[in-house]
Amino acid sequence: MKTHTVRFVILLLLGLGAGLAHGVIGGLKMPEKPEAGVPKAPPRVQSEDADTPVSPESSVPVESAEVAGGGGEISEELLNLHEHFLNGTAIILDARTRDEYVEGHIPGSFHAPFEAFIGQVPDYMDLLLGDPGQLIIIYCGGGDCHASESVGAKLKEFGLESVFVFESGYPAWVDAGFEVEQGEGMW
Amino acid sequence: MAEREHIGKTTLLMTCRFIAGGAFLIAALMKLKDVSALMLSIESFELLPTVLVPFAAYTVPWIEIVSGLALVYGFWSRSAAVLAGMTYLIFTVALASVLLRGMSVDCGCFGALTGGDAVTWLSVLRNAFFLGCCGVVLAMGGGRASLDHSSGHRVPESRLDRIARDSSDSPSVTAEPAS
Repeated sequence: MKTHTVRFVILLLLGLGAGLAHGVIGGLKMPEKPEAGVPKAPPRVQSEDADTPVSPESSVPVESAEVAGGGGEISEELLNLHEHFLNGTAIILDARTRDEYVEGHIPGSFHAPFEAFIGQVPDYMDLLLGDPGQLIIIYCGGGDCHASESVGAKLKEFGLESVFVFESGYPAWVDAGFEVEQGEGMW
Repeated sequence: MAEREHIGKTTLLMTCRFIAGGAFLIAALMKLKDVSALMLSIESFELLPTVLVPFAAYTVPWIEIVSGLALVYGFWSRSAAVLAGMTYLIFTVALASVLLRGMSVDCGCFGALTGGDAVTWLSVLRNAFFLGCCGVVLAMGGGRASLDHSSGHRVPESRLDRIARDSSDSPSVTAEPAS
């Protein structure tokens, strides 16, 4: 028994030692943070005839949120997202898991988890690359969720520039009382 | 009859060693080809603090290589089986936890070989099978077709071996008188 234990420890130390040596050579650090450079809040909707942004107060039917029973304080980024949602001026991506997406998502949003980028290119990239200037807003579960930032960084790698993250995520949308949609998405 | 049993046992052990060790070797080499992707996979499991992810990404493949080589060659087979088995057990628990939390993540099990290989219950079953192979080697040793045997390493006798040896003794053996 003692012999086996000693041999086990030797093998383990060999593996750990080789791994650490490799790690020291490789830098032992995470790859370049993919989320770097992705703005954390969606921009305001631009008015048709001017460059000045439309103020949230004038363009967003805040009443709808209050009537829906949100009750809580609605942040400007949420107002901006809702504005884009109402005006159809942005593609909204949901970076959460499929189960979470099916359970409920922002109506018209597309399911785009980060895992779809690992070792492959998602089919919908062709669609997004068709209009590189198109505004894209990504959300996930808020809080500690970084999936939206990771997806945003990937999209930027593909050359899409107008990519924004809605940092508060789906919970903020639900808390505000905005409408949600259930079921499978469009891709 | 006894010889046939030996051949069967040797074949079984060699097969188990090659399956468990070979899978580890392939998986490790594929992972080492793209350690960054492995880090992203490990991070997506949300089981380790981010600061430990690079450490895991560099050490896990090398532990796989060491235990995989030892298993394939049948060197210190039982110890290697314990190390490989523990690693497979950790993988299995991690995969099951991902599924139970309803997450949809890339397995990262075989690195670039399988690309975006999503975690499914099949992945858990596959790991459980490898774990079973390690269990067989742990219980029975490396067998005759191993370095342990051919190099004259005295493999410590396991309880199962002892039971098997005792049961194969002639029935006429009488109990030794207590000294």
